[in-house]
Amino acid sequence: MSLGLLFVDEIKGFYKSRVMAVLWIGLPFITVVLYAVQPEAEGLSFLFFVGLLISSFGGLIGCVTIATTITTELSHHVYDLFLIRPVKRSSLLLAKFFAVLTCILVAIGLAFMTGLILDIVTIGTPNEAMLRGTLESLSLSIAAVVIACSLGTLIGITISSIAVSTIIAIYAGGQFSAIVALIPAFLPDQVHPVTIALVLLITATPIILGASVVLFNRRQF
Amino acid sequence: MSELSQSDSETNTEPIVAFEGVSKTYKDVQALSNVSFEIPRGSVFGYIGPNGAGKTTTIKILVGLIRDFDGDVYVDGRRISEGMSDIHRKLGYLPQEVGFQNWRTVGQMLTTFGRLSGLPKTGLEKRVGEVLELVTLPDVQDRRIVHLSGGMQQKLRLAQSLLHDPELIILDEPMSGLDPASRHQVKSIIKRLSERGATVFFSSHILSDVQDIATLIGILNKGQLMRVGTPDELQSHFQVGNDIEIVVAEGSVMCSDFEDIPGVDYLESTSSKRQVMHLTSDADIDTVIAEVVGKLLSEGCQLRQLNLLKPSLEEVYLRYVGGES
Repeated sequence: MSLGLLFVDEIKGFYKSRVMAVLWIGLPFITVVLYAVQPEAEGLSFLFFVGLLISSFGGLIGCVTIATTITTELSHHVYDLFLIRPVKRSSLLLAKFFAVLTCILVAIGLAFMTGLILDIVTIGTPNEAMLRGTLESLSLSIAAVVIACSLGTLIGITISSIAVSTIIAIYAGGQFSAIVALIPAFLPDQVHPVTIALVLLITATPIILGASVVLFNRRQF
Repeated sequence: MSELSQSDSETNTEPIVAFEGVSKTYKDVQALSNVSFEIPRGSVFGYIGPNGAGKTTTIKILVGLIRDFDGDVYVDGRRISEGMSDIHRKLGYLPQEVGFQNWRTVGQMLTTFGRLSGLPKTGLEKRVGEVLELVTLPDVQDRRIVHLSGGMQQKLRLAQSLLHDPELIILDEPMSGLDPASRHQVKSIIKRLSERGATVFFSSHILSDVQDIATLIGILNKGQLMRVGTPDELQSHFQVGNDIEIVVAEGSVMCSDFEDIPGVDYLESTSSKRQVMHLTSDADIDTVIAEVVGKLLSEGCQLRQLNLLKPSLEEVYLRYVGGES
């Protein structure tokens, strides 16, 4: 029960602290602005452009958001009042992870919706091949975001300095998104990008999150 | 506290808290060394000691924030390493240092903590109002916590610890940052909680506050528990000498040969009509007083007051911690 309560509490927090607004309005807005200032974007599909942007920034945003939130709250002793209640430590951490992930996934969804609408308005309805290609790249991007968020969780609980945590999260999140986007290039064509995304999600996320939970359980407050 | 739990606390003679040989080391620093004590139900346990003595470490072990330590800690007969979740339902905790997320309002925070403590949704709003009333923080439910003053935030910390009506209330420096009126309020609240059957374990640097409300005092120094006892027990254990104050009428003769009386260490004249007689630690107070009164009457002194001055908790404390504080 506490996981659900904590998740709702975190979502309320992201809403009230305007993190949600920055992500949900900011990501689609940045997409449009970058498209407009991009000199080589003429004729390029908005949807394709959004896909490129998400694969570059999605993991970075997720990793930095969660890492800095956790490090800041740990250093300010925010969790002490939660942990002296009948709440599992893992619930506290997982609620944070799922709340950040939800906010970012919704932001990605909104950015794609914006791209789709702009495509329909400017170049007409995208064809099936284009949609399929975009969704395939989106699946990889989402896998990268999920894993980057779990990586951010690990960074957040292991690094005690907010500045160091932010720097490492920027580096790790950015590099990780780039690596995941490149993986299909090193694999045979027969391996479907969605399969790669699923394999990455199923293997990496539980391992990193599990390590985070173990470390959080051992932590002395 | 409910009537049922109050009746339970009256019949259950098992201590609500028991520390057995607890030690804790931070890298090379021994924060606690073989600490053992018990807290009986319904008592108000004042935990005192200099900065860095290990008070907060003791408290954090008790509430489960520090899990890596040697020894055993029991709450309500259960070892905390085995049933912390159940124990958390019974305890309320006010930390010395705690942060609040910027976006939280008072009402929202208390509602969330109430739900996490297992309180049902129905009636929670009423309970939040009651607790805020108790700590004299009405009309702040919609205010952001970060906009409250330091004293108000301290009262709010106290409010969250009382929300679920716990049997054991653990307060780390509850009077810190409060003005004299608020300190008085907090002491009244602690006394009322104790009268209703709750056990209160609090640490404080303000020894007069501890003396006012504690029924049992533990003195910690350099990670070692020097002594646990009632204020009277602590004073008598250290055999701190008592003082007798003699006040005579204006213009009366003041006797000066009290030093011959067995048990009198030395005399101190504080004014022409007031003398303080310092007794040796083994003095028999009744014999000394009888001798003093006899001398005063035989020499024609016009006695107005004869007061037995007990040593303050501060004096006892300084003896235990060797003047460090």
